[in-house]
Amino acid sequence: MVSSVSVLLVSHDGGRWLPAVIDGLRAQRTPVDAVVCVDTGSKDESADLLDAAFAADFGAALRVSGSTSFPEAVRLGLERLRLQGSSSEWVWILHDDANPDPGALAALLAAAAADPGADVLGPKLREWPSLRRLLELGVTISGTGRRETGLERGEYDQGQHDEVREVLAVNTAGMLVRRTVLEELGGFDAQLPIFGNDIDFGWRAAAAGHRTLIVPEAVVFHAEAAHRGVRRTPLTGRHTHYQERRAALYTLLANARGRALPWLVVRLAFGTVLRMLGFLVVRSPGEALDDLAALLNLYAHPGQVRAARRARREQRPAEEHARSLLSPWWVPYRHGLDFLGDLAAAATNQAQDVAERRRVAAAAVAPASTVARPRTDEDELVEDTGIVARFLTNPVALTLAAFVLVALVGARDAFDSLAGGGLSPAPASAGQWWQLQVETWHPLGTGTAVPAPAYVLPMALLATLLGGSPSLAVSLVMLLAVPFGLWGAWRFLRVVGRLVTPTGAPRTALLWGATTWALVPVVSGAWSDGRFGVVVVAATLPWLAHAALGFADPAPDRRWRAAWRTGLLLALASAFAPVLWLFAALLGLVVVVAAFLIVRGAVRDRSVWGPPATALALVPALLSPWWVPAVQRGAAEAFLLDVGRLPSPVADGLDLATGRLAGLGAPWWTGAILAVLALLALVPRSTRIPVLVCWVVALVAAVLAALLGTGTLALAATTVATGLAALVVVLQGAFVVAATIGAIALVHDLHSWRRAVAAVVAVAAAVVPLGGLAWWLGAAENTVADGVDTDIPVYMVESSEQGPEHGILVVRGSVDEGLTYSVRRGDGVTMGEDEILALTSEDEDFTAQVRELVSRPTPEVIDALGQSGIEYVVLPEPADGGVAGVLDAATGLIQASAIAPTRAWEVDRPLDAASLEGPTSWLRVALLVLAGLGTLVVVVLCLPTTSRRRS
Amino acid sequence: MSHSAPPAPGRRSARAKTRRVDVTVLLAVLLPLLGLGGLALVDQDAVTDPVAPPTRTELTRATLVCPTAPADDAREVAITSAGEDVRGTVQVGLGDAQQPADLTSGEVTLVPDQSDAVAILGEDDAAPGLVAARFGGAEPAAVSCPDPTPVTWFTGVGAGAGHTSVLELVNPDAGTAIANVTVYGRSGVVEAERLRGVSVPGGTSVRLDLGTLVPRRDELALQVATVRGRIGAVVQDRFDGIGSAEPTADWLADQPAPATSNLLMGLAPGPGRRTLVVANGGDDEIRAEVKVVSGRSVFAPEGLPEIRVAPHSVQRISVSSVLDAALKDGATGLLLDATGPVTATVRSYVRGDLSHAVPSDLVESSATALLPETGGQKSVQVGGATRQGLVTVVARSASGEELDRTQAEISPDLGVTVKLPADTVLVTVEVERTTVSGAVMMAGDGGAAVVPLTVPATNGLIPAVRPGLP
Repeated sequence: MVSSVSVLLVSHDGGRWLPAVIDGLRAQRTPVDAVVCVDTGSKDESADLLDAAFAADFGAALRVSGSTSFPEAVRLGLERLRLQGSSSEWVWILHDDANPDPGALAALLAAAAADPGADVLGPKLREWPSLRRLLELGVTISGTGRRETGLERGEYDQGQHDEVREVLAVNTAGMLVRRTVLEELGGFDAQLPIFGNDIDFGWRAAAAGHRTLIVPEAVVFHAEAAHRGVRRTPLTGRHTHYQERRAALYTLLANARGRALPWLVVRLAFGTVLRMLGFLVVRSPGEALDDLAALLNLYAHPGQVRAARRARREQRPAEEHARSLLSPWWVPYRHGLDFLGDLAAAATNQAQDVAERRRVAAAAVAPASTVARPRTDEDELVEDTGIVARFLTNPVALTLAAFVLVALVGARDAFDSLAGGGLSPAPASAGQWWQLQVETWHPLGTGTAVPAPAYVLPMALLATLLGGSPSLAVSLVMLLAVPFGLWGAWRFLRVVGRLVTPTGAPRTALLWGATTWALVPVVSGAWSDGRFGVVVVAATLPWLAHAALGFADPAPDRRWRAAWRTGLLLALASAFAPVLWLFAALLGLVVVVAAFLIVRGAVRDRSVWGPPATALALVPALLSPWWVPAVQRGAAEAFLLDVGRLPSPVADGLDLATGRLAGLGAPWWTGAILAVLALLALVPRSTRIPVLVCWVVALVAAVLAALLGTGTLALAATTVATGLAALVVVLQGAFVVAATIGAIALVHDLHSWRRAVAAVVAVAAAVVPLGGLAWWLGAAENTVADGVDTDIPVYMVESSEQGPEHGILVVRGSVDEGLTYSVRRGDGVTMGEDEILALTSEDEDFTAQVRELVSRPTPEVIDALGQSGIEYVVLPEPADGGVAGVLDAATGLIQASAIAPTRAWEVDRPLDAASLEGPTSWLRVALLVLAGLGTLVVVVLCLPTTSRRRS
Repeated sequence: MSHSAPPAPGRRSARAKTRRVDVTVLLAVLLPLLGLGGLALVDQDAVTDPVAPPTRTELTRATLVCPTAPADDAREVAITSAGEDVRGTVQVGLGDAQQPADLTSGEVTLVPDQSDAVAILGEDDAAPGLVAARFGGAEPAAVSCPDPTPVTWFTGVGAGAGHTSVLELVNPDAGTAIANVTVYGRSGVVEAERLRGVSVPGGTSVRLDLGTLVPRRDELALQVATVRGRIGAVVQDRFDGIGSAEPTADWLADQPAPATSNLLMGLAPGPGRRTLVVANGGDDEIRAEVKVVSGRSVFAPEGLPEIRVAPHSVQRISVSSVLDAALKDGATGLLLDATGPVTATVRSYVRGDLSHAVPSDLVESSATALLPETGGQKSVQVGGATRQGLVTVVARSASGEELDRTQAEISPDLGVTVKLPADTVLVTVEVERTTVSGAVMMAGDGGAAVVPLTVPATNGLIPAVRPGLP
């Protein structure tokens, strides 16, 4: 028995595909009763092509407006069939980009005949025009609304899925549906104009007790024009992803069981946030926003879903059966894992190598001039053995692991909370850091609008990720600085080695260079003295340098990617040491001038000078919420200061050359060895040019140090020297790279007397990291673990934590030599507040008030103290007897207990915090928002590309 | 950043190569030289914040404390002002028992019936130049009332049967004050728990009998440090002579701080027992040399070996024989030059009466001393001039009448003695072109008393105040 079939073809601007589709339809081995064509306002020749093909036999195409949805078009087609008096049992729906294989219809009908219970049948969809790749063999939907085909990405059709089976739904392209079923279910849901109506229909059909089969023997080639955005209709608009997502969410919400609905609503909201993150990570902010918009659209109009659920309520006798056809619960989690895997793979692939790509590019230009990297035993080992065996048989890997272990032992103080030296105690909660960032007026001292230092933001982020513990964040930074720097230095030096020579630097040289670099923050004394800004810069610098190598990439798009990465890392490092940005700007200028002199043509190419310039410009842009208000509030000294508690260590020429902060760090001669090695690296001719580049970097740092080193900065509380610590780190980095490059030349030429020289140099070089490590473990005085002693009685500290008005005025010094005062509020000066207080200009009224207090404390002066929010006056050891006598005799000051010889008084007056309040700066708020968004965008632009999107 | 291909090999390569080699060698020399040269320019000094001395201002509030009256016939407190044209009132008394008293420049007001310790508070005009004293009544004794200072020293106090001292701590303010008294003995710091954290309630005085609290026979020195509040400290020294002699008492003046050079003016005339007591509160042994100051010269006496004082200890040197001879030749004081800061006192027990010579204030422009009406022969003895200069001594009666005015040249090698009329009660010493220090010696049949010249505070200090690091 041959069933009667009517074809329903919906077209919209399908002129590109229609000729083939019409041919395919004509070539069907099974005749059809009728062909009803519905054209939804094509602007091309689609309607004419359809008329030319079928008007004669089956009547002209129905021409309807472009805003007609697919469900509407199908409804119109069915009506046309009814009007024509068609009695066909089946309707075969085709798209204008779905080209059926000649046997498709026959196979579908055969399957229908074989299984009389089947009401909906779908063909195997293969990609058009590639023809071999599988698109769909029936679809279902996951709990998160994802369209599940059960196929691998780009899977070739090798007959591996060729059995007829029941599925939830089949694509409308090539769907053979029993006409009665189609009409009984009310066709497709008009709420789903283009996408997703097939799944919804399948679900409804299954719930109503109908069966849907996939018939792999029937093949339809589908271009998925609308899905891929090749074809835009008024219905898809520009945001096809939005439409698809909205359809998926709608389908889930409309068809889910009633009791699962509340959970589903919550789950989809969370899922959307996760998906958005995922899209951002693969640099698809548009899709992330589409996801959000789709969710908001549905949640803002619950009436749509309610109406749909009402309409579906009656036809659900087989709801459980439909549920069994949904994809398993674990599928979304597997996709999540896959995604993370893809991401990691993309990131690691990306990490390989500017050097390789330059070589490939050079080979393309002049094949003879390039040398392939010779294969070594190691390469074969890599291919042959497992990771554990490789690790255990590799002395370099073992040494690195031992180094990391020893570094963790050296940093053992960080296992406890750190404070001391240049490091103030961390605040109690990450919330305090966020508040410090967000508020534009701080109730510190006597009230200040100086913005918090920029490094508070990354620290706050880290603390929040660690469960809201700033103390843990500080400890983690200090603990992992050396291993992190080691990792970065290894990566950077490896690429530098390969840039210099195809074989790369010898691994022992890499080992030496990476460990020496990683120890820079330690041997400089920065770690022991709690100069965390230097520590972070030293750990970040190799990563920054590695990112900057991307400027030398042959591909312009990778150079731009390097710009975003370098800019972001430079902004991060500059947040901890603003001087670094000045250095980078000066270096950039020198490089551009040099490039102009050497390769004139390069300057004209925007993709050559643009990326470095962008990276440099990104820093002030991203740090504008801190830098602009700092200038505005007269705190521009921040650009030239190291972060942390004052006074910062100073440096002279020898300190800079040997990588030490004055008075701190390992013995200077170990640093001198490194400088001498960097000088010796200039001797071998073969590697002299890259070593010279290192010396150019060192020269720029030296010039900047000479410029900055002459000045001092007068702050309200003290006069300080400019912060050169970041330049110490840069100089050490340049020396390490120079010495490592020098080692390449040395090992390449090991014969006769050179062998002896190499041995001497190697022994001397080994002293640098080994000596540094030994000093750290044995001789370093870790003031960073000593705590910050404030001489303030505990009960006062507890009182001051009750609110900003419970301030403590601390007066130090003597009458003869001058007195200094500071005001402690809240939990004291915590990390991030030092810089604010140091850069705040003097409150002259308050100074006059204190002067009156210590010379002639009239009752009015004491009243004013209360109004300034001062609860206690403390004279820490050694308390000046004269001042103490004056305060003892003052009316309104009550002697408070303190451990002698510290003296203290309580202000017996009402306390007021009003004087600490200040205006909100909307400029800063706006800058914070803009910079926050900008940082997100830059982060997305930095991320590696994954090949997730179907191309 | 160059990513261009390497230069194509060609005919010019040989020439280019030699040129480039030259350039790299040049750069290899030049860049490190420039870099290290740039670094050599860097020399940051750790910036130390400058010392900011206080500014002087007119004193607006002055407090002096006077000890408890030594006897019923000595209940008066003498006050005057060394300031110019002062005519005002001061508050005299402790705690609630305060009474006003008139204060006039150049005149001496005797405030009667003050048997307890008192504080004298002068405010505004009455503050600058406030001077007060108490006298011994029948016994020749006098004390210039000190102002409360955070730390002060008393050298040569006793805690034994024959020689004992009473430390009186006076708190002029309303709140409780606390003092730590450190006792130095011959062989180091003496354990004296009951002298640590001595609490003096507001508006009261506490008398500490050392003989009871730290009974011992050696010479002692006290360091009185106020750890809370303000305390004025005065020591009354008692000496019980041998045999039937009456016990005698006098106040022992304080010394604000140890010094390397101590001029001890005011040696009671006549034969007697004289003891030099030197205290070393420092951590190192100190050697000291004694010189005699007389009207003709300053010389090292024979027969007095070099003095060695161990750390944290007190040394006693008998100077009776040395001074008996020197006094006949017109000696007026001793000069003690030490290798480190010490405190010192010469205690004289002459004619059955006790008196002390203690280093006194450095007089830069003028100094004052209040004297009792009786007291025998009075003379001003000054020395220690830093250079040639002029000393003018003005003697006044209680009503302000100028009794005598004497000018004398003084030079570094000399002591100067100016005799005063017997009824002098107020002495002003003005110094030009030099600085001196000295005392007023009162010697009569009943014994002697020494009143150090005091430089009253006329200026208040306003400390330099600025924000500091937390």
